[in-house]
Amino acid sequence: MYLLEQFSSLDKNQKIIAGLQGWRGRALLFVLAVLLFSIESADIVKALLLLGLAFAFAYVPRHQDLTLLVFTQALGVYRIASSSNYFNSDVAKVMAQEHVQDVPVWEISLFSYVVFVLLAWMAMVYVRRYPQSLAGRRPVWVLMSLAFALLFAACGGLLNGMARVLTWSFLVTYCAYVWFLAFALLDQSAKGRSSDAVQLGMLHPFWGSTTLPYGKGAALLRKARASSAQALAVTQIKGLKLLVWAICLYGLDTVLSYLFETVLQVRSVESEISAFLAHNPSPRPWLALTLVWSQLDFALWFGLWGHMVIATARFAGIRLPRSSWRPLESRTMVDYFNRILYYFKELMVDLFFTPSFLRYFKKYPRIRMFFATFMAAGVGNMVYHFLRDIDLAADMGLVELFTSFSSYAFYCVVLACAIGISQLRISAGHRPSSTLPGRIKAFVLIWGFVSLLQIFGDETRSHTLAERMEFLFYLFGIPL
Amino acid sequence: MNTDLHLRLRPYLQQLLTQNMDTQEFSDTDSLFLSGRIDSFSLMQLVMHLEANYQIDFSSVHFEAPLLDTVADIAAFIQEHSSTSTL
Repeated sequence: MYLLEQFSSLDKNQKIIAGLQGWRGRALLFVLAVLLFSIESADIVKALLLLGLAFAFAYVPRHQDLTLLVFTQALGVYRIASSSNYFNSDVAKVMAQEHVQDVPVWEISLFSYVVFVLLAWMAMVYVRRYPQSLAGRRPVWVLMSLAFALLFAACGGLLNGMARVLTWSFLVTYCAYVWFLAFALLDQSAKGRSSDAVQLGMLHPFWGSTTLPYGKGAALLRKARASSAQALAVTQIKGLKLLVWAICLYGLDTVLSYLFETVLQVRSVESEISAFLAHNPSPRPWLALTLVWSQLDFALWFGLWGHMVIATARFAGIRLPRSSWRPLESRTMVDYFNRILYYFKELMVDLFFTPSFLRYFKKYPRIRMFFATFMAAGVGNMVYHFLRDIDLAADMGLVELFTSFSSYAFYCVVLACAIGISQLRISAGHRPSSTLPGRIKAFVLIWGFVSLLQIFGDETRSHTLAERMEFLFYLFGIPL
Repeated sequence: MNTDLHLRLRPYLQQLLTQNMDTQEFSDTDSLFLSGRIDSFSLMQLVMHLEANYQIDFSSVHFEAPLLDTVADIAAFIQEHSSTSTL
């Protein structure tokens, strides 16, 4: 207990803060960070590369905007050249379909990436010059429209051969970066907006992200940079604490995975639905356990992954908020959404909730709140996941791509309604009980609900909405 | 600095924080939003409060959450955008 208290107050220990402002302390911190990072990634070279960039960024404060641009773009190119991202395999699929074999995959991916970065920069300049244009007023809708136009061009039978390969390659790149670009375009009308170098440096910044921008855009970066050697030391200690916590979660997930999947032989939700459809269902309590484990595993992995990214950003001296924070303590659905996937929620709020909230139903507060919530947790959630999995279009084709999404769309609608109702209850003055029974009740209801939703939220697309609905009814013993 | 405005804002912000189960003190320059003490949904409640009490039309001004991060930020935002003359 004493050690835990000492550890949690590391960032307030003046001796350690002072020590980290000298080269010995910094070198020790770097070694510690690399070792801890390597435990999860099992790749010391990757750890050295990522953390090397982060520490270099932190300790060379001169020309930091340019450094951000160079580090981010160099890493983007490196990932393509070394095939360590998924673009190349996605592009290779369509190259095989179109019998294009005389150009290396990575060259096409790299070409698309360079074109994308150039167009992204031109889009920023355009929006800045013409703030009243459609792209200036509704950047998110313009970006979404363009994504769907590209999808129809690449998979709608309009193009063949190299033209289709190039369009597809650009689409895959575009969908991986579109949310970063959305934040950059929104920032163009901000007072004190960041330079173009920073905006381009925030297109999947070097400290890591998925298609989801961890750390949002330049607007948050302006507020989050450590402004002194002392603030940098405190930020880096917080990064170390988060990394240690991430490794604890990794250990916990490893143990629980062994317990559930190896010892208890709990299968995935998809496997259970398949078994049910083959008239060989598992007992109902077992299915409930499957859903609980699926949700727990999801929460652990997103917590772990997010903490690794945010810890790296903090080593770079960026004071970013955590990506998840005590999700088991959620008291309402809104609270859950806020705690478990902070940066996803922020993306939904900034790009879907806020614009809807500020524009529509201004005279009807309850409808206004519900509509904006629905646009974020429902529509935004749907669009985000549809574009994230755009690579499936290469195998499925357009029709199956849309029809197989119906289950996840249903998941989004139900989740949005639950969050909307939760939001309305809070607005109406409802406060969750802070007593122990009240907390337990909130935990059971929220985690029970989201675990149940896993039936529809599973993203493999291997079963239809009707089949999943049948499975749900079976789970509750309701005959069809 | 408009301390009168700061004083008028504080009870409402305290109420928002309490709603988020946060009863800690806060100064005029403490980060409320970026620190996570006020979530995005509560921020929208703050927006409604500012619309109703200070006649700010958020659809016609550039708005981003960091602009309302502290009591001082909110007061400055009101002074810049409010159409009421009694600030």
